[in-house]
Amino acid sequence: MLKIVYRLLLSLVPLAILVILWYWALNFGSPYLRQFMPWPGQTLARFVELVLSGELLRNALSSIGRVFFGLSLAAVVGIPLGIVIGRFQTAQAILGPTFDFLRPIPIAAWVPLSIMLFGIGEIPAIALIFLGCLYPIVLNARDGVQAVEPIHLRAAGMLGAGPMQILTRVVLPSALPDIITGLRQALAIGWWVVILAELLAVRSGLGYMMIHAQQLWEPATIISCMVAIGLIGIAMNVLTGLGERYLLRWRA
Amino acid sequence: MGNTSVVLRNVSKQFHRKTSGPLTALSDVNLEIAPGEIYALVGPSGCGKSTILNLVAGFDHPTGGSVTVDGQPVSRPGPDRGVVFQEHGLFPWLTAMDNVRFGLDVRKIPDSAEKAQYFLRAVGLAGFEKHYPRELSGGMRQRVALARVLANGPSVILMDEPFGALDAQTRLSMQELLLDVWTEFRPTILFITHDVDEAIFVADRIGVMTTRPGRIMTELRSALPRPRTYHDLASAEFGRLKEQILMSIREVIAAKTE
Repeated sequence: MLKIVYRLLLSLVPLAILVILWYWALNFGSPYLRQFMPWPGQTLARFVELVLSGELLRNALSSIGRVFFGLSLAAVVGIPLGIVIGRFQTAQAILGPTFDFLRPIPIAAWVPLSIMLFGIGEIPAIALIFLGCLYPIVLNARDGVQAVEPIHLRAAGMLGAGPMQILTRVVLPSALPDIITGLRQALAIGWWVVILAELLAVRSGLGYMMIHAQQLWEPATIISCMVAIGLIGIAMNVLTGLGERYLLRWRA
Repeated sequence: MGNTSVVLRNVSKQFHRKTSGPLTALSDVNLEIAPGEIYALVGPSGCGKSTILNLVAGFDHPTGGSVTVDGQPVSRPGPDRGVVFQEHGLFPWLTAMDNVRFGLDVRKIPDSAEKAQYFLRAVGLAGFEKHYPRELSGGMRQRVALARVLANGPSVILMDEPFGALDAQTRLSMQELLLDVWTEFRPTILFITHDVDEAIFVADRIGVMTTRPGRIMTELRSALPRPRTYHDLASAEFGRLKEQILMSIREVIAAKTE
């Protein structure tokens, strides 16, 4: 217990240094800085205010909702696609090169085209998240399927399982660790794509709240949003980590 | 059922390799195993013992000759021919219980839970139903592997060096367990091993194989009484069989080095 407290204190050292530097910069730095940068205390006050008013929560929920919608679509499309690519050489031959070509194009590079195609609104945002999530889901599912132990396929066959049962009872569970890895990577990517999309293509969510605050000259709001984005990211990682531990409890 | 279970007639098997020419793994193998018989194949590594097992299991197909089980030609793996692998054959994401239920469930056999329970008890694993394979010792995993095959009620059990990865003490107790299980269910067993003592202890007949191309050189019939215990490991009949087998193996090695 004492150790946990000690480690928590240690982990807060960079934050303490940041706050000290912040005070120092505002006190001794250029007077121009003081015209627009709030003090740490003011920023904290703004954060609390945004939490209590529900504004931060409302926008966070709309960002999270978009991520889960885009991620779910990507999972529904990407997991079967990855399994097919992993199981069938022909599918790999048809789709592999296309994926290799598309993957290096950063999601940010899709923004101009998607705004032109879909305008400003939910659709371009979801489309970008979907695309960003699709690659890790497909590629990890494919790897998982290809890594199925041949002896497990043999075992299933000699126990009487047919091709469909081998797929659902052997290939899928044995690829599950990789599929989960893909989903977790997709969630992390989706979380940064949603902020990008909201900065540019949508009028709600944490990203939009930030760009709006920039226009209103409210740096404390921007910083509050950034803190919220970080905290939510950590929370997602912890929760999905617990989910993974439960689903893969058969592993060491 | 006739008076044969597994029959191999003039079976040959070639593997095609990229670097060098074709490898003849088996040449003109003839083998008949009677229902309820335990037949052990011994021989040096690389002699094609496992290839024979794979052909009977349906994992692989002969280049020439025929493989039949209960009169039916073998074309693919099936629940009538259960296989116990050397290791890693269990599904690690399933509990011991669910591993044993697997075959029953995919074949839509009712009351699979009760049946799986029964076979887990038969291999001495009552109380370990909810354990995952990684939580079991090597010997216990092989017990589960045996139970899941028994649960399917196969006419033949194919065992590919099943106890080869176990320590000596565990191996002996697994051999005794196998004989107990055999006494109870009387399956036909094809048992692959490189351990001569093991072959003599479990088998009714023992085939000694030559290498490359692999074929069955000598067949010996064991006169050891059943039920057997570890005392039989020190009997005169055991010594006689062991001497004969070792002599055959020496001939194989001598012929190879000449």
